[in-house]
Amino acid sequence: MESNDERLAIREVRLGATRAEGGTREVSYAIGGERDLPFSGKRPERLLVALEICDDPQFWPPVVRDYVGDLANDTAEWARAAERTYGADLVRLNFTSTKQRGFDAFGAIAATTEEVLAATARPLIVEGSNEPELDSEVFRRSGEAGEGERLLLGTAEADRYRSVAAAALAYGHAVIAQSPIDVNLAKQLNILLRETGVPQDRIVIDPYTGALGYGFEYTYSVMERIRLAALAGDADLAMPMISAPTDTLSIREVREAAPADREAMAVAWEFYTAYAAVVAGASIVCVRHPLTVARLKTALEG
Amino acid sequence: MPTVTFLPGYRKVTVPEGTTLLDAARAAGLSMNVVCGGQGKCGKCLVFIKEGTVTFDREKYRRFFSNDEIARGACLACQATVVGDIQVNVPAESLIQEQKILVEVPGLEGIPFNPAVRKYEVRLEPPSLDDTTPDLTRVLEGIELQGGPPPTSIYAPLDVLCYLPLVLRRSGWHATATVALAPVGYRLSSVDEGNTTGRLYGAAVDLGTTTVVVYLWSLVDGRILATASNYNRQISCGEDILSRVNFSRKSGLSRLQQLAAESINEALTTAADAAGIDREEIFEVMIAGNTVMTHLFLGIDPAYMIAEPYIPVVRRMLSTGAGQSGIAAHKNAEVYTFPAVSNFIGGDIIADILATGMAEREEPTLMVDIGTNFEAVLGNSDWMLSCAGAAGPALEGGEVLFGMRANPGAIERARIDAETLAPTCSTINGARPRGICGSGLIDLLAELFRACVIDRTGRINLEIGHPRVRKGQYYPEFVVVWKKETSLGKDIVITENDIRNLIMSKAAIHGACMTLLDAAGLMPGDIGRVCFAGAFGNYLNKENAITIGLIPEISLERVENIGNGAITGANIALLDRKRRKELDAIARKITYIELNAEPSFMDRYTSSCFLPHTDFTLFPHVQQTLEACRARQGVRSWQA
Amino acid sequence: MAMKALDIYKHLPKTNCKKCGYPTCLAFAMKLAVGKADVEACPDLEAEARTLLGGVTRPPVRLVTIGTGERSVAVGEEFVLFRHEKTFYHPPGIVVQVSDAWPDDEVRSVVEMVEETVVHRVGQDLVLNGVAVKYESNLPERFAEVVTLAGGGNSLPLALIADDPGALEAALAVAGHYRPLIHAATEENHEALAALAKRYGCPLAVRAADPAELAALAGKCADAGVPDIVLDPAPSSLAGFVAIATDIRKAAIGRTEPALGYPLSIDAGAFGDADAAIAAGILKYAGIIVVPPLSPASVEAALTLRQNIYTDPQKPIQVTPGIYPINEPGRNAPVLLTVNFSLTYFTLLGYLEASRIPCYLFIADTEGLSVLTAVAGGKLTETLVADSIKEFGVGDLVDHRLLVIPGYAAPLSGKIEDATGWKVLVGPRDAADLPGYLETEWKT
Repeated sequence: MESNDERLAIREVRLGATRAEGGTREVSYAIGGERDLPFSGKRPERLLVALEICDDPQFWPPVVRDYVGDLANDTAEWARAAERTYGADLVRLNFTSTKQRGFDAFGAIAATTEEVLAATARPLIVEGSNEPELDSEVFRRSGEAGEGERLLLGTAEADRYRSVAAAALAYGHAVIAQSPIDVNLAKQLNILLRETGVPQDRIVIDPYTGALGYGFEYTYSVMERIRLAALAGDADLAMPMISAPTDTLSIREVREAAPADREAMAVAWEFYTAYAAVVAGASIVCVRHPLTVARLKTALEG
Repeated sequence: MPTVTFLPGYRKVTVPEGTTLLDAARAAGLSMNVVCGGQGKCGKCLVFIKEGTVTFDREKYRRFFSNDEIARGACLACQATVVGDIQVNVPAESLIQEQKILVEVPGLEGIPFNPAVRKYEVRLEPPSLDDTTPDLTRVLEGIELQGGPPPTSIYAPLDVLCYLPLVLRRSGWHATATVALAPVGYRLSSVDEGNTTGRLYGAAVDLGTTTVVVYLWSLVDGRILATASNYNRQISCGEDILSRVNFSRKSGLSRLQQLAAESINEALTTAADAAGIDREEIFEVMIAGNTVMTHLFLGIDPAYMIAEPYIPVVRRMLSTGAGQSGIAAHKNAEVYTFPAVSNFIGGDIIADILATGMAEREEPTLMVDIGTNFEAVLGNSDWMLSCAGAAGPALEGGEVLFGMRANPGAIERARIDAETLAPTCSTINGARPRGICGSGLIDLLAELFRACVIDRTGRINLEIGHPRVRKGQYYPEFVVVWKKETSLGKDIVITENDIRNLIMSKAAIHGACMTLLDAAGLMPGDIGRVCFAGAFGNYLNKENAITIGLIPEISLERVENIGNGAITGANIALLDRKRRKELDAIARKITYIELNAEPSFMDRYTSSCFLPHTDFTLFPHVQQTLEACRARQGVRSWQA
Repeated sequence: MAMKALDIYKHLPKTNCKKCGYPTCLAFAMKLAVGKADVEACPDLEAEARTLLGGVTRPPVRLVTIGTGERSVAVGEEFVLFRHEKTFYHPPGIVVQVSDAWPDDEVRSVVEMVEETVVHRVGQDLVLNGVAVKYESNLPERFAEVVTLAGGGNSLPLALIADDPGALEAALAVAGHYRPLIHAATEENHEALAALAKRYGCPLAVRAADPAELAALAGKCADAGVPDIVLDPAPSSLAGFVAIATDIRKAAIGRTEPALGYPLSIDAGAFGDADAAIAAGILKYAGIIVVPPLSPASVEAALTLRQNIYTDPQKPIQVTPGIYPINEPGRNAPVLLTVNFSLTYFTLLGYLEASRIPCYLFIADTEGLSVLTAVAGGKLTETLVADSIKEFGVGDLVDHRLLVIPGYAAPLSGKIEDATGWKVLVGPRDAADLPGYLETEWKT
């Protein structure tokens, strides 16, 4: 099945920039490049596990807050621990502070981005506000603060892709293109981004990950279809995929578990969802519970 | 009694107090636009009180009026009642406009003329004691002598026998017999005094949910004599099919049956008057209607068709006597209704199929009939597949801010200059524009796309910085015609929401076409022709229809517009008894695909919700033209 | 490979006689083309056509049943490589492994756990399927004893994991009549094991690390009279399992190697992370997954993943239509109309629960279609909404008459108002925007 035809391969996307590449990261990652189904043919350099952190823990799952304790109140320390203590390959920074009513602390966005970049030597994923009115400013500030570091900025959606695209183009970052669990919508968004001028080797597809038991099977099949389309030569779907089972920790099974079982349930649920996403073709999986990071690292190396 | 004066024509009428303005207008000879049948639901019968007062609950119907209209004394004619002398301003939009109807129907030239009803002039020997042959036998033998069918194959109804002796004796044994092909054998429909062979007529009827169209033909020589149309009067019982069925369930079936017959009769009378003929000499009526319309016309309960498992009572071709079905023709005239496939694929679609001639060809034809619902048929002489779905009314001008049916003043064609974004529009009858009809909407969508005003999801790019591209009250919009050039006194725009609705409509249709192709294992390139029937009349710009991805891309010369296929099919079946005979076989051959049960439909629909389609390789020619367009405009290359 | 509907149609009688149960020959051909009908349903087919069409519709992976009675598990009989192409039909059996070297109590507690574990999800009871007894004592009679302890195959299906024909013979003397899976024949012992499998009519697993050897071994066992075979590709890594399993399934579906047309098995305990191996087995074609005793969290996650993956993607799980209170709504809480497509429901539920906004989710029966498709396909109509409001007594729950409808249903807003008498508010198209929308727009 493996082919040497460049047109039948997943495009390579580089994340993070080392000093030699004009940034300050210790490593940079090339994701993509596969020419076959997941786990078949030439294996990717590595499958990446990102730990998600945020700048305002009131919007974060209690089961994670309980585990990380005070770290949650110091975004930079949290980022440092993600890399050093929990072994994450990258950090995904969520600006949950923008969910506060009447948010306008844009200065803090830039400052937090800089602090987190200083605290970790790994490449960084930055998640915007999900609010169209705030997004362009959030992306401008964090994009500017991370200029040269080849951040992965998220997320572009069909209704609002121009502001992320603009920041990515202005400061040299890559973009997460998220569509609601549909292979056609994924492709449509990639076309829109392309027609806005975002180069195809700076797009990572997020097919949106439904939690296990809550629609995950749709995500799984959409990911398989995206990979198959790419291998069949569809350039508009030949991008690496990122999967973030973010809904997982707020499902009933976790919320309503007995306190003693909650952590095990949270980790099992995140682990199964993320691992299945890798089997479906994800190059990066993002999880929120630190224990899941370690388990995924072991499983993916084994 | 109060006097009501209707402006601008100063038509006066005196009516009792408490009469609605609608009834007063009718009495004054004005045809108001009452889509809802006068129930205060459609808001189309807007009038302005200039002088005097009426009883009218303005708050209740507030949603139909703008502030400006309220200030000018707006009310609904169907809900306002007269209390004293008044003057009422009637805007042109509130009157029924003559629909644009084609008399030159393509395809009619080539119909073989082979009618199923004929007249025979007979000159008979009077009976005598030597020749005691009964009257009937005498007539039948006379028919055979004239080349007609043998006596044993002709059935004579009782009423003919009752007047037969008188006619024969009064005419001095010189009469004209009308013989019609019946489902089994022949029928002696009439015997008239003297020679009437020059006067034998037939009518083809398109019994639509909204409109009824009648074509009147001479069955002596196959000439078309007149056409007429009017609204289906069942509209007063409900606008769409579902509400009619619901009305019928509330013991309204006989009322609906009566209204269907009346609607046909009205058009039939208009056409007969125009042609100067006597309706009593119409001996055959061929009716094509959807399955529910056909059931209602025949007085058959349609209730089991609208709920699972959607079963019609009958789908074969039926014939009844005009007297029985209430049609204003000769009472022994045969009234035929087209066969159906299912509740969704009715006689109108079988008529479309007849009009396309697809059942006689070896190459596959894809036929799409577009209205609020759409039906698609793919097939050839050997096999046929069909499906149906809801396209939404956008392509008929519904759900679009300035959308309208193909009436005078509707923009039916449009171009947009890619440099200046200046549109060039032409309207039906050349009237000042007052809205946009389906074909105009398709043109605008394609042109806005070519001019890069909208992206491939149909979103308007507000960064263009042009006075015609603006934010709008609720949605971004493009100004098609400035206020001063319209007959409305406001800018005619197309909004992002309109565009979205249009794209959803076209996606449903394209998705259905691809589902049929896939079920048959064919590629778009395997289609011999695509035939359009329905909403667009004759004015669809084929290239634009393909540019927006309404149908699969095939070369333009293989796209045909058959216009109102239902009436064309009815005409063919009326004039050519050979093809009429094939109808039941065609209907039985069609395999129906339920789109809702077809898992791939959802996928195809979503991939079609993009201009022209998510998969550009399905539209190679459109891709080339767009690249050329964009290159000309110096826009960054289409394929980065 | 599969034939297209029109190609199949050419071989049918074209009489539209309906004896097959379909309205036309073409409709039957379309069902045959997607493997949803049996050629034998047509009584008027010429022998030649019957053979030809039968060849392309026979299941490429054999159905193998382990155990007997209610809890027996049937695996295989799959038609596709990816679930979106059609569906996966037979979920893998998950069998929990015990050892005959363990004390009886330990074995008993695992067996009880397997017997009693039930996870209720979306109207289904999800269970573990059986017990695998591993021969580690080197005492055939102890093996037989633990097999008896595990129910002897009478209650739960068993897998007998041993290479030694003597030990297996002892165990089969106990459990042989309950179709246990004999696991596993290798190059060395296959003759003896095939003879046992044939004698007891049991399914037999064959093990070889190379797909070609595996095919050869399966072929030999089949020739020896064992029809029901399970393939154990003995992978050295989990990635290796996925790759080999994919190749084997491809060969089976493509009908290039009939001797690989059997279900697979995987031993999840052989890898660093058993949960990962279970997930890989569920996702990539395993028919039998042997697992070590699992934590309740792992069991629940594994069974849920299996249910998800073996859901028919063409028949989305439907939520029961009705009115669902969320976050304890009061009499002024918003009523949100949506469809009974499970993904739509779950997505909405997630956002609404997280938002803590009290509301009613009003689910109309669109036969599992999403909003977009239900509107386009005419399944979501004003009549349905009006009838459902009456049926579910929505009006009795709230004091207002305001209905929030999905953004994609906007075209129906006027009709719904007319049909229901409720005032319609058009909500956002995206579920994520709903909480924000309710916060700003909802006023009674």
